[in-house]
Amino acid sequence: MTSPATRPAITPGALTRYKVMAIITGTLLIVVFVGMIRYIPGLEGLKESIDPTMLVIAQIHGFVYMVYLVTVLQLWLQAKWGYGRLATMFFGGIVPFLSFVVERRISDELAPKEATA
Amino acid sequence: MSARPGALRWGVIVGVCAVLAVVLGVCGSLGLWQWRVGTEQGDVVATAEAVPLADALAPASPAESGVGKTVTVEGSYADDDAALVGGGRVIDGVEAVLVVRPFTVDADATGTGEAATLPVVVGWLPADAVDELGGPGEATSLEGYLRGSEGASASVDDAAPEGAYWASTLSPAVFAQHWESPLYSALLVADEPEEGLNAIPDPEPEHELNFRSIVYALEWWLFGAFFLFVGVRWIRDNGRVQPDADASAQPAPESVKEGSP
Repeated sequence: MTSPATRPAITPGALTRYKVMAIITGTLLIVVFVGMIRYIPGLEGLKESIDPTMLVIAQIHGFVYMVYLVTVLQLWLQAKWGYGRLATMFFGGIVPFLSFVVERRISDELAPKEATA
Repeated sequence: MSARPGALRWGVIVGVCAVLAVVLGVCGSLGLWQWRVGTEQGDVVATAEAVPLADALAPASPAESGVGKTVTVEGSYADDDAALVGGGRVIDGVEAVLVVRPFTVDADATGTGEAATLPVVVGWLPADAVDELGGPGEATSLEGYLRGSEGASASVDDAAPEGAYWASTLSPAVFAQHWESPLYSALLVADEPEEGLNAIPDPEPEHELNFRSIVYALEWWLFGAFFLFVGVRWIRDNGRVQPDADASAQPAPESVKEGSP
């Protein structure tokens, strides 16, 4: 960090942590959303069988999402991205599948830079 | 020139602060609300309007749905012995004995067309003052809340004052040996204590924490902290008019430190 970096200085650790959390959060989020099938008319019968499990998973997702946000912040600070990117990463843990898309894009974007660095 | 910071963009800063204040207010109060739900939930006494007993509970039938309801009931105290329920209860730091009297509910107030006996907790006495127990009141209409019964217990043969017998739990099954059937399976805790007796304290709110709500509260506050951080950051990055020179070539030096682990 002594010389003014022309490229953002992203530590591999921050990137890895973000990637791992993005995948975990995204997966849990999909599980949570799948659990919502019980609100579909005709499937109310599933309420009793899956609700207790879903409640636990939703709470775990809440915690994991908090950790995910921390990793997002760290990576975002290091990369000096714009606020739009931060918003996208923020919503990655709320909108199903978004975290995978964002994670993929960020990985692709950073990978060649890291190779040359 | 480029080394000097640009003028503060007050309009933007005030705007962001306002948005931030709203967001923090929302997150903070939602968190507080969940925290309250999580820590203060479970008051047994329903605050809803009183309903006639017949709408809440039928004689000699399970009491699940009726428990906790506030009810009114018409009838009169029966002349049978009162139950003195000890069992090592402590109220206000004193060993207490609950006084339970049989209340004969009028036949047209039970919902079955037949009179029935409702155990009514009319108050409590210190254990060393049970001899002060008087006779039943003259009330023909009671109001109170229904509480669930306790398990049956072995009968207690200790010498009881005139017009009373001992029991160690609030159990209609035990009361049934002394009072006329049919009996209700829950008890009424009368709002007004019998003359000479102490009022039953409101039930302790259950202090069982609602884990889910507390987690939600913490999450809301963490969200608030996140937005606060981002907002402060944004003001720092964008709060000043950028000099015309290419500022992006020189990242703010003090921001580098925070980014590193």
